[in-house]
Amino acid sequence: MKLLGAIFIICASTGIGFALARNLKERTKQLRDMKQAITSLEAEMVYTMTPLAEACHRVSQQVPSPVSTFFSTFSDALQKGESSAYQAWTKSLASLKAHSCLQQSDLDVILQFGASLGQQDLEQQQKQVKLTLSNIDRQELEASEKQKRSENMYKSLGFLGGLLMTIILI
Amino acid sequence: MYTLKVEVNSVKEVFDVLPKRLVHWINSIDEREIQKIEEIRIRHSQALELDVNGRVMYLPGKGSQQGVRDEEMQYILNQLSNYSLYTLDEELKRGYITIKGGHRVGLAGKVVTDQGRVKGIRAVSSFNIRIAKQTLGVADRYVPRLIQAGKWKSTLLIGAPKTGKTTFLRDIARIISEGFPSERLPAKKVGIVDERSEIAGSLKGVPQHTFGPRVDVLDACPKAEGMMMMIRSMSPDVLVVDEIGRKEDTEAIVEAMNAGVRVIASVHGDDWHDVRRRPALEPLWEGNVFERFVEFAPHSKPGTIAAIRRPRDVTQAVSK
Repeated sequence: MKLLGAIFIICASTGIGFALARNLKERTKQLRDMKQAITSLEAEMVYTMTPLAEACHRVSQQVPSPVSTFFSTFSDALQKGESSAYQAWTKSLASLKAHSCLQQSDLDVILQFGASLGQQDLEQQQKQVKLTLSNIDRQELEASEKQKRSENMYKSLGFLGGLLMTIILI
Repeated sequence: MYTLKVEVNSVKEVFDVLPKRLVHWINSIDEREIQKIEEIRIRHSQALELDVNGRVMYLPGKGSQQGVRDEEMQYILNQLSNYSLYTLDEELKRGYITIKGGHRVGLAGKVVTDQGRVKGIRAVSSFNIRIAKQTLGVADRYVPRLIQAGKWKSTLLIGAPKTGKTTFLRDIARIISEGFPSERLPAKKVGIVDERSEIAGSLKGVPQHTFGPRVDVLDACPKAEGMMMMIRSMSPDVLVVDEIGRKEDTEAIVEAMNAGVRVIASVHGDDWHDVRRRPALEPLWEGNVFERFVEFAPHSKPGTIAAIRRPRDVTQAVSK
């Protein structure tokens, strides 16, 4: 009986450790996906002058979830007729927040990009894309460093924490 | 063929780009008056101004404190651009946007320049929506005088601004492309070179007016170059152009003539004598390029035709 309880505790804490580690890894990946999405969006805007709703729909098919869901939600909101693109962007971002591993600082960068989206001419829009991409780059660098530092730590900490707890309890 | 003059295109198409509050204002006036709206002017923090058949009307009422709000101006711009202003770079440079139905939205506001040339308009403070009205059938009863032995004659439409030249031109283009059974005219290929996007009112290259099956349009294309492009690539039977006047235009028309293409064109001017004096148009008289001259009467209802002349009548008039 004791043994079963010990195994249960260790498994659980290891699981928590792995989940935390996975979050770190996912954040880096999602930032990278977001970067790819914005680059594709730029191409749609600059080279083919596709309107936002359609451009974002296409972008959503090129990137994995949850970034894809964010862009398709945004595109749908525009097609339904939101009062401004920014409003649609903000709403979609709120649902992205709930379904992604991105942190508030990451979301702020994306939110800022939305503020000018569709309101400017090509040249300014391109500048905005560049700025946003470099901002995301910075976030990604920070995320990947954190991932390197803490990923293994979380994993082993989870296992060892469970072990410690069983020892104390026994 | 339309025995009665039929007006197509409706003001209501414009309502799609307007904020609900403004649509509500417009809907508060009489339905018949709504159909007669020619222009809708929207200015930042001012009342809405309507031009109803030449009469000015303010909404929601003259001296009202209610003006168009900042976010409503933004809304209109969003609707015009599909939330994507960057798709309108070219239009913002020209100063107007064509929307569904061929209506044109003129813009004014802060202009951005690059080395002295206009790059576009930011911060739009005024919209002027001109309702495009196509009157099908205005040219029907003049057709017999513009043809000979079942063939169209090259025709020059002469008139002051707002006398109905473009409406007439549009209708002629439609008749040529549809054919005219009562005169046993088969449908012919028509090439429209639409420099000001006024004849066809194209949206993404597709004409928004009714033209029948055999029309090709070069939208927003410089006339002289466009005419040559048309002749080379689309082999039209008849070319239709608006507002000729520059030397290159004349040269291109003579060139088209030599290629066996008929030209139907419009030009600003009071009557034939007025146009005759223009140095840039000189080559047209030497070659007897045009065989019919349609003069539009000024100061009367748009579309009123004062005379249709042939070169013979005209030379007599000159020698008198």
